[in-house]
Formats: sequence, C-alpha cells, structure tokens
Amino acid sequence: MHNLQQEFNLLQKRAIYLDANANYPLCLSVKNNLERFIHGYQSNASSIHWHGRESKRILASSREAIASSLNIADQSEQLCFTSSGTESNQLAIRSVLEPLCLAGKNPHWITTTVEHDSVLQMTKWCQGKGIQVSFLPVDKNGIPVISALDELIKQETVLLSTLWVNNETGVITPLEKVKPYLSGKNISWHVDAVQAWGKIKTNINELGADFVTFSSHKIGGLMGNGILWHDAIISPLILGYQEKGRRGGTENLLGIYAAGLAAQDINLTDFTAKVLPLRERLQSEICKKIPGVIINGEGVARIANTLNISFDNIDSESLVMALDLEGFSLSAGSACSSGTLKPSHVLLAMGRSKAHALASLRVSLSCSNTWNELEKFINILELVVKRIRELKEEKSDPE
Amino acid sequence: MTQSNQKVLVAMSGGVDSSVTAALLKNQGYDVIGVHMNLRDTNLANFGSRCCSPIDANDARRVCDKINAPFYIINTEEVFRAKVIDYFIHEYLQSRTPNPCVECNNKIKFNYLFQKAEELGCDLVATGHYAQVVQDTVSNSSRLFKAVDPQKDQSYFLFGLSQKALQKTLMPLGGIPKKMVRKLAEEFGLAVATKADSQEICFIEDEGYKAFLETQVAPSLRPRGSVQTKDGTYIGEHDGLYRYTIGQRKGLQLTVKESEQYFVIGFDTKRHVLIVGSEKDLYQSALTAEKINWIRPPKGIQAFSCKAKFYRKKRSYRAYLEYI
Repeated sequence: MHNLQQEFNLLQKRAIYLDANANYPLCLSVKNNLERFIHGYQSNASSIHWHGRESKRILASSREAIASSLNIADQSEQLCFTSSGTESNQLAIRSVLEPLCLAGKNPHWITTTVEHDSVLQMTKWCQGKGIQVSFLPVDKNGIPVISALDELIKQETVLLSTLWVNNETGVITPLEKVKPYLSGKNISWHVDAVQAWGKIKTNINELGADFVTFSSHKIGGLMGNGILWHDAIISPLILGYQEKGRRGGTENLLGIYAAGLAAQDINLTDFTAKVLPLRERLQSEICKKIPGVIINGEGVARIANTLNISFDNIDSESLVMALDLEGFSLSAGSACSSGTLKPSHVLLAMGRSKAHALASLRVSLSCSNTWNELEKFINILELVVKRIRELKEEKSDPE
Repeated sequence: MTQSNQKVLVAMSGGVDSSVTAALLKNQGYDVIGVHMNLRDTNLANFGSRCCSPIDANDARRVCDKINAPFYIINTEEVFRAKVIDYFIHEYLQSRTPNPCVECNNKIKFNYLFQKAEELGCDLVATGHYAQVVQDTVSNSSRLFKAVDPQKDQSYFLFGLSQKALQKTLMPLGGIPKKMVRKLAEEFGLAVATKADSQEICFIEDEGYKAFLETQVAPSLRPRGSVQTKDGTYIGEHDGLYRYTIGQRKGLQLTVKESEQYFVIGFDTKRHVLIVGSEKDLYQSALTAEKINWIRPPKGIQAFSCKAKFYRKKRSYRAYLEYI
C-alpha cells in the first residue's frame, strides 16, 4: 500500500527553506559521500571480522573529526554518541541528579528560563523526586542574567544548565562570565551547545564546562544523531557495552559518519560571510516595509543566521501556515512535534506580552539561501501580514 | 464550471465523514487545505479513546497525504475551553441542559475556524456535517436543509449559523447517505473507511458528564438539596441539581412509595430544590424560546405554522409560532 519511493518524489516539490535552526540542510560533503559510504560499509561496528573492523575505524575517525572541529582533538573519547540533542541533554542532567536522588539527597539544579524544551522537560521529571529547581532569569533581550547566580547558588546546588545559543532568538549567552561563580564549588556545569555548533566558535576547553551537548543535524549532518562531551561521570540511560558502556544500542554508523563529515566542513568565516549580510538586509527591509514589528534580540550578540520577529496584531499560527501555502517553510519558534503553537516561553521570559509571544516568526538561514529568495519572501510576508491584520481589524469592529 | 482556483479549508476531525468531504472536494477540483482543530491536551500519554486525540489528528494527516493536500493542526484549546466547555459547565450549574455541539458550531467551527480560513486566504470552509447548504441565487441568500439521510441529519445542530457563514460553507455529505460515504472512503482508498463513528460529547469520557462536572466545579457550587413535589412536600434528597434533567425518572432517591411515578419537572435554583411531579406535569402546550436565529428572517410575518424539534434523534412536531 505504501510506496516509499513514490513518496520521495513528492519531496521534490520546491518551497523556499528558511528554517535552518530546526534542521540545517545536508552539507555538500555529506551529500557527496553518503552513497559511497552506504555501498562500502555494512557491518555492525562491534563485529570482530574485517567488515566490523572497517566500521569501527569509521566510527573512530568520525569521532576524531568531530573532536578536532571542537578543538579537543586529543579528547575524542570524551565524546559519547547518542540519538539526539534531547537525549544528550537529558543524559547529562540525569547523570548528575539521579545518583544523588537515589542516595536520598535533595540536590538543587539551576537552569535558565529560556532553555530548549528537552531541558525544560527535565524540570517536570524532577517533580516528586526531592530535587529543587531554580531558574536563572533573562533580561529583556533574552540574555541570561549570569550575576543572579550569586543569589541562586546554595549549599545543595550540584548542577547548572545553560544553553549557549537560544534556538528561537539566536541570542548568545555570555558563558565566559559563568566560571567565576562556580569556582571552588562542587557544581557540575552542563552547556547546551546545539545551536552554537557550526555558527560560533565552540572551544570546549576554554569553557570549563563538565557536559556539552551537540546535535549533528543542526550543522548539516543527519537527524537521529546527538553528541555529549563530558568531563564527568555518565550514568547511562540505556545499558549496553557500546560507547564504552555509556550508551547501549548499536551505533548509528551512518549518522555518526555524516556528523564527522559535517563537522569537518564547518567554516565559521564562510558561514558568517554568507548569512550575516542576508540577515541584516532582511531585517532592515522588513522593518522598513512592515509596520508594527519588534526584532527580538536586536542589538545584542546574536548568531548570524537567525532573525526573530514579533508582529503586532497577528498570530504566528496563521502566519506560518499562510506563508507555507505561499511556498515558504519557516517556524514561529522552535519546531514542536505536535505541530501546534503555544506562546513562546522564550519571549515570555524576555517580558514580551502573551500576544507578542504568540506572534513571532523565526527566519533561520543556511548558506544555501540567496537574496533572491529573501526578496520574494519579503513581498509575500508583507501581503500576508496586511491581509491578516485587515481581517483582525474587521472582526474587532463593532457590528 | 471548474472550481480550480477556489481554496477551501476542510475541518478534519480524523473521522470518515470529514475525510470523505476532503477527498470529494479535491476530486471536484477545489484547492483543499485540511485543518484539524486541537481541542484538548495533545500528549498521547494523557489520552483516552475519545474523539480529537492525537491519533485522530494523525488519521486526518494521512488522508491529506493521500489526496495531496496541505494539512495543519491549529491550537483551539483555549477558545474551545472558553466558548464550549465553560458554557457547558455554566449551563448545568444553572440547571439547564446544554448542547455543546451547537455552541461549538456557532462559536468554533463557523466562527473561529472561519476567521482562520480567511487569514489563510481561503474562499470557503467545508465540514463533514450531514446537512445541505443551498445557495439561492434568486434571493442571493443561503438556505439550510436537512440531509438526505434522515438517520444522520445534523441540521438540528446547525440552527445558529449566520448568513455570512453559510454563504461560504460547503457540506457535500448532506446529499449522500452514510452508507455511500463509507463506500466512497473505500473507493478513495482512505484508511479511515472502517473507523467507528464518534459518539456523544467529545470532551466527556466514559464516566459521563456528572463525573466531568465534579472534576471541574467545587462542591460548594453544586450543593445538595431536597426533592419536593409541586406543592412543596419534601420527599427526598438530591446530590446536586446538575445531576438532573427535565423529564428524568431514573436516579431519583425518593423516600416515598411508588417513587418510579415521579419525574423531574423543574428546579428551584435559589433554594437548590429539585421539583418532581407526575408524567402529565411534564407536558406543556406552549413554550417561550430564546436565542432565536433566523437564517432567512421572515420579514413582516408575526406568526406561522411550522414544525418544531426538541432533540436531534426525535421526530419533529407540528407547531404554531408567534412573536412575542
């Protein structure tokens, strides 16, 4: 009944893709090498025979390529492969909190109000386990107020989780300010670097963190492959001897190889040179042509490819669907698996009104986007925003 | 005439009716956009077997995949809560029996969803209701008729629709018997062809409406009280007026003989008294109706003969209607 080959043909329909923070388009080197790889490597990396050894070699080389891209070429064994950024985040958090819970302690965890959902989910997990959770606030631009750590850190604090780059706004957390607050204290530091990797410098050694998470499909690798760098003990979520006992289950060799290729291809100068002028021009054109817009995270350190806009008197649910119908793929904030929209917790934390938190649009660019595409986008955006606003005004007129 | 450039938003529950509606319209050349309204919590782990679950959303999505139409889920939780569920609770606490499906049609499907459709640039909205909408080109107005399948007719639930909404509404199933709809679903190759029809009120679980109200309303707002006859004789206790409907006989805890002869005939909501009487006390020859909606206002007419209906599944009766 289902013919998956035919389904692939449907994928060929062209829409303009402006959602690189949800999934970065496959990088050229991955595209060029995957087919060759599929024909060549067919074995489980745990097998003893030649095929197995070859797979194991690819596994190790990929791990080293990723380590090099993170400036930790000599520490590749501290990288543990998982299924996703979500798994990596949750593995890091549980590794610190769970053993203490089991030992009957009441550990304290500090995180921020603007984390990715995969971290916020863990605050629910903490409920009823005797774990205390505190949230580091953000300022009106979405930057976590690191100085608030002074008040939040207490005797029982064992873990701090901070995201490096916000997935919705692209705002960069000044992580260099964190270390002094932790020095001399027995607090593990977990950094979610999923949106930072490939977009800004991610030198782990300079950071001084204990856990750092990455995801391959945000840099042009395949979905289904996450990475956790760790300098502290991991207590595995899935038992098995793979990944040196840190993560059971046969390694996703295809995904790991793609991650290695994509990591090797990271070129920050090139990335910034391509997307920053596009983003800046897009931002200024939108502000010029469309009244009633707020640029979220404007004027603070942001990654080069992300533009988050709130519109007066619009809800992003209609906006995203209407733009899709016109052939533009982008998101309101983060991609949600149910496909429905809730007010953005990031924008709410920044002090935006609920209306503005429900009225945001995230444009996230990749190196393959062109100004020609963005010009088309601006024209359609202008029309769609006008249409929706007129309908809203009509509706609010007294009958 | 070809409808090749008309964009229609199809409200898709994930059931067979709305799925066939979408497929039929697509076949007729419309530009179909499928929309599923998410009325409640989307976490599958919290869900029972009722309508509008994430599984239903997925069924609707797969139908759209099949007919090659874009599909979206819209978050309707808040507006559904405010306009339908809160109304439902409020009415029961006022000792009136609400009809949430009518309210959902008036406030959600043919109002909120219409707004969405316009925002998406759609010209029309279609639903899988069994009723016929006819555009009368002479009077330039829309008319609502019963469905051809008397067992499935849902026009009763649609009495509140405005001209504005009806003029942009398609209900293609009004002209087809239900059996044919299932056959069409099979012919179109839709996986929902054999899916069971939804029953009862979508947000009420198997425990029933009373259990639902008890989870939603504090006990102080639904006090117990006495059961009395018309002349004020005390004959028992009740567990809250919301548990009773006019005409109800079962579930009365009376302390008198031949208690099965008593029916609920009214409420005293100030004193929380349930009033019971004999079967003949139930019958009335006239009533005053409120919240009248004229789909086509009868200009200049003060009174006329008509047929009236009180429940969807009961037959209609001859009536005489007079403006007061």
